[in-house]
Amino acid sequence: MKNKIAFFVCLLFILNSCQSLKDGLTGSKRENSDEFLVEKKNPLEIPPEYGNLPEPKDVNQQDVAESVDEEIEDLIEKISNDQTNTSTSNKSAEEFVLKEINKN
Amino acid sequence: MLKKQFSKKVFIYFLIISFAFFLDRISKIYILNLAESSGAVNIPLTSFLNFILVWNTGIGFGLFSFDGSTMYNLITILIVIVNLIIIYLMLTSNDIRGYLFSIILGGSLGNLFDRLYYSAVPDFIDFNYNNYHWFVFNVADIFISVGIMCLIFVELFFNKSNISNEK
Repeated sequence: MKNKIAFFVCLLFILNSCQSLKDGLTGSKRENSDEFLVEKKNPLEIPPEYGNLPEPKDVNQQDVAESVDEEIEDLIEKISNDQTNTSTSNKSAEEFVLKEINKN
Repeated sequence: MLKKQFSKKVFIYFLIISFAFFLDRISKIYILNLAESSGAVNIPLTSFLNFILVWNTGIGFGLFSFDGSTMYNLITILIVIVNLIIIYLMLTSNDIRGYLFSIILGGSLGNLFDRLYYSAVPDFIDFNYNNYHWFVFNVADIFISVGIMCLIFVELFFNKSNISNEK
């Protein structure tokens, strides 16, 4: 009998949905962040040497200048390669002539 | 013959459940319409009775009213299971307890409907005496509480009669 009455009392708690007036009006306790742990942030300011900063260039101009530099570097590389090739070919020709002379 | 009696019993249970459920629904719809039209409900009817709309996400007496949806869903599942147990007890009992279980079930289904539809149960009946407020409740709570109190009384009296018979 005691078990049954305990079961009915549990039913009373589970099935009922009455709410205390204070909880209903103020809302139940919510997990808020602690306001004393929040650090204050300084307001936004202009940097002290703002006038000395370099002004950004136009994106198109920068691209053109970079491409010209690259072209010049490529040309220099090509010329140096050609020079080395010609020097080796000259050497081989000289050796060939010398060999022919020695044969004779 | 037994089948006919059983179906008659189930029909009466169904009538009681639907009466409790729809009376609760009508009262809640009326209060919610008032809240929609006027913004909030706070109507002092008499010196000891007010209508004030509050929402309960927990169980009885403001317990387990948390913000977490997991807790809310767990409670809702528990209430569904308890309702199934009550249906089983209602169908297996052959005396007045069956009718009492049906009253409880009607109220409980009313609250369960709100839990699923609004994700909270609207309570609006506020009894107060000398500035002391009892818990705010609704019509479904009346059916549940009255049903359970009667069940406890019946249990006490039936057991007394059983004990006296045994003697």
